[in-house]
Amino acid sequence: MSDRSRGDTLVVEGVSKRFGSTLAVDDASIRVTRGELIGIAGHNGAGKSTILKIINGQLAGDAGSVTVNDVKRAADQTVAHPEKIGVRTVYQELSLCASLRVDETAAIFDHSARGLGWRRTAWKNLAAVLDDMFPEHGIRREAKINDLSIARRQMIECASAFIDSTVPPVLVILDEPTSSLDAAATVGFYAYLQRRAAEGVSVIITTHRLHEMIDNLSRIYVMRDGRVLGEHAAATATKDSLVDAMGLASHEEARTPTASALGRETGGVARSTSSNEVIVRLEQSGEDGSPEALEVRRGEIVGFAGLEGHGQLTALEAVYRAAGRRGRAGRNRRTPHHSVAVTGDAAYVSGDRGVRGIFPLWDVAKNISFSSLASVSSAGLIRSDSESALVGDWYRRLGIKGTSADPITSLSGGTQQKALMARAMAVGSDLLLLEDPTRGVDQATKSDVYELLRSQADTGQTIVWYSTENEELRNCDRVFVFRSGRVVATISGSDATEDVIIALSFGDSTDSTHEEELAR
Amino acid sequence: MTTSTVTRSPRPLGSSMRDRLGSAFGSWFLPSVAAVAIFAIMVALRPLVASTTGLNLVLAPLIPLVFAVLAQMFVVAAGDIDLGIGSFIGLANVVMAVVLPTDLVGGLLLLLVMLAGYAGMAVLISVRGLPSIVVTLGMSFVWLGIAILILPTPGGAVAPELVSFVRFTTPVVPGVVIVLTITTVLVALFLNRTKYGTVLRGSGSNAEGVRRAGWSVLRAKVSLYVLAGFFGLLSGLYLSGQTGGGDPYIASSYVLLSIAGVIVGGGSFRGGEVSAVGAVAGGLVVGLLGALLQFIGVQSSFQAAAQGLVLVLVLVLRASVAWIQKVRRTR
Repeated sequence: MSDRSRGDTLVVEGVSKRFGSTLAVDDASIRVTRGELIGIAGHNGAGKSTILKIINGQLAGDAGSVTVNDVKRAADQTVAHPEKIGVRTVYQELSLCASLRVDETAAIFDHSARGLGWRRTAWKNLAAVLDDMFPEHGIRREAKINDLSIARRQMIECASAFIDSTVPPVLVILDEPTSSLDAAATVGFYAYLQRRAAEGVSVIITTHRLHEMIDNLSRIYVMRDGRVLGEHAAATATKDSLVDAMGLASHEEARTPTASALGRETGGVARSTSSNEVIVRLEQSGEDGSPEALEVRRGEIVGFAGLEGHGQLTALEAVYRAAGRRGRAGRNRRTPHHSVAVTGDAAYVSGDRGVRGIFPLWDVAKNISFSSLASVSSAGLIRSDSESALVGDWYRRLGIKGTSADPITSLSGGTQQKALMARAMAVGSDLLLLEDPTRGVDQATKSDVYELLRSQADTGQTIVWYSTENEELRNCDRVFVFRSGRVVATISGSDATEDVIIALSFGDSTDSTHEEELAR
Repeated sequence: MTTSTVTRSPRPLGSSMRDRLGSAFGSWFLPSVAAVAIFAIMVALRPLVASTTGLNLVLAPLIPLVFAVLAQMFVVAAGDIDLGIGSFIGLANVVMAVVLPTDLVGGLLLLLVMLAGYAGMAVLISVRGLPSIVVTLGMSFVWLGIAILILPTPGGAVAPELVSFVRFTTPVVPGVVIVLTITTVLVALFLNRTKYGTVLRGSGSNAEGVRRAGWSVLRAKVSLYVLAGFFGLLSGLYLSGQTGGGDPYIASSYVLLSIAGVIVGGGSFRGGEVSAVGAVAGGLVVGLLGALLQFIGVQSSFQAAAQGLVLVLVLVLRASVAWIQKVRRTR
């Protein structure tokens, strides 16, 4: 260690960033000294990714300043070429080009590889890091990225962040760098980080694998709702203390009494109003390998919770594909972890309404009636009076302002989402599947949506609801918590506080079956 | 946790013979074999095809098509598709037959403006996020309109220097073979062996990744489109020299044929996945197929349908090969 090793590589002061009505990062301050490995922990939507993007200059913040290597800039300035000031980032979603060879990929990252032997130089530089980081990586220079496993692609991304290139790395930002790596590779990776840290490279890591941060880093910042709640020395932190800090229950609102008043028995028993008819049946192999079945009954609202990317969406989509269409019975579907059977038909509402939901050129009425055209038609022609009756009925129920002839894009995002839910509900299917339906929707609309779902459930519609916002899962009858692809816990809606869900979704993450599967 | 769970990974290192063979025979291999096979059938039917004159006669009409396929290949490499290449080549032909003989400077300037038009399309598509299919289709009517404005009915006369340049040949090696070889080698070297060629292919495959690595995605797109325009002009040059006159509609069939050539040649609409050798071979397959059908005496009214059918067959074959490879890999 040289005497340069003391001093700050990164100082973030009072950075805030607002997206529409949500404050993604709120007055956050972070400090990383030279040669230090720090972590940022937080649950879904805590603002980790946003603050990392402001640090590397990809995203403009609203307030505050970022100082990298004693060069200060206002946070509202973006940086076109962060690699020129020695800031490297490995993003969670992979950024390799599938059609290139490994040595060509290395050359794209390695700006120092020029001239005639550019591929050889780039490969030599990358292979040096790869061999050091993952001694058994088994990656050949002429392999195409497309043909590599996700684990090997992630190895290449991690390694390419540490090549010297024209400007050596000063600060490396890693967003879930080990999500696809197996245990051996992960150990090698952190050992390499520590060697580089001794040479003065600073590293920021975010990962949901808390034990990795505790074992390998020096300090851990905990974020929640955009605020940096505090910093913990890794030496004294435990997983429980971090989970407690992340799930600090101060802001949990009191549950509205009307929602919890009636018919909610704990322990996952169906409500008294619902029949015993099983609509969805998820089978998975239990901890001990024996099969266990999870059942969703008619008229129930079931939430899928957990950290993002732990199998909730896969399960939800499997449920949709397993459902019957147009009077035909569905068939069983398999996912890596579940076998899914559904009785009856299903309708699906995506929270990604811009891409997967609305017809932007049509008016609200057509957007609502689209899925129910069969029921408002006779002899193959749409009967406009039944159509407008259907639309008018839903307008009343949802309390949408304006007329149904307005273009859908004139509505606010939240109201568009309501119209989309009306489309799905108007079909009258047995099962309603919701994929994060309240993403980016304001609080008032959210409560409307919750009420609407409850009234639909009371009429006998079953609702399966995937959400990344833990607090809204209290509106479910039961919540399935996913971890590493499996349902690890079933809790009743009244027990589903954010603390409980966070604790369950981190759980005991020493089981590494999921990682091994990805690495294969 | 953690050191207790550390295990040595039992996975093989993936350097088996089959893997090596797989990367040696890239996507260009199948179309090249197909091109050679079709040519062999033609030689078997008419041995004279293999002579210098025969080669010139059979291959010369394919040169403009091969250049059009290369032009299309650069656009496909960007993850886009060019529906205007046919009218663009037609306009180049008209400029060379009508404007260039009378006004050399004005003609050359016009050709440069056409290239700038391709750069402009790239900027529009990259910055404004417009779909390339719409932009290039729209521009195709612009190119055609200008061409008809210059030359309402086929006519004009290409300068004799141009004609002799295009028809250049040697007594031993046919000129067309020389042109094809040089072009293929140059384009393949650029795309696969220069760093910027790699960046260009990467930008079509994962633009965001290339941008994060510190490259300008806009510049890459413009480069690809300008290259496409350049090869469109070359195609027009050879068409002009071979026909000696101008016709706005001369290359209208090239739009779909060039796309077919790229796809037969191993390209993919996903972007970034192109091969120069494959594209040239694909162009030859598409072109030779027409000639072969003529040779075996397929009625001209059936030719288009037969040609299309064979192309579909080739694609089905390719899809099955890709599927088999995928199954093997995942097993």
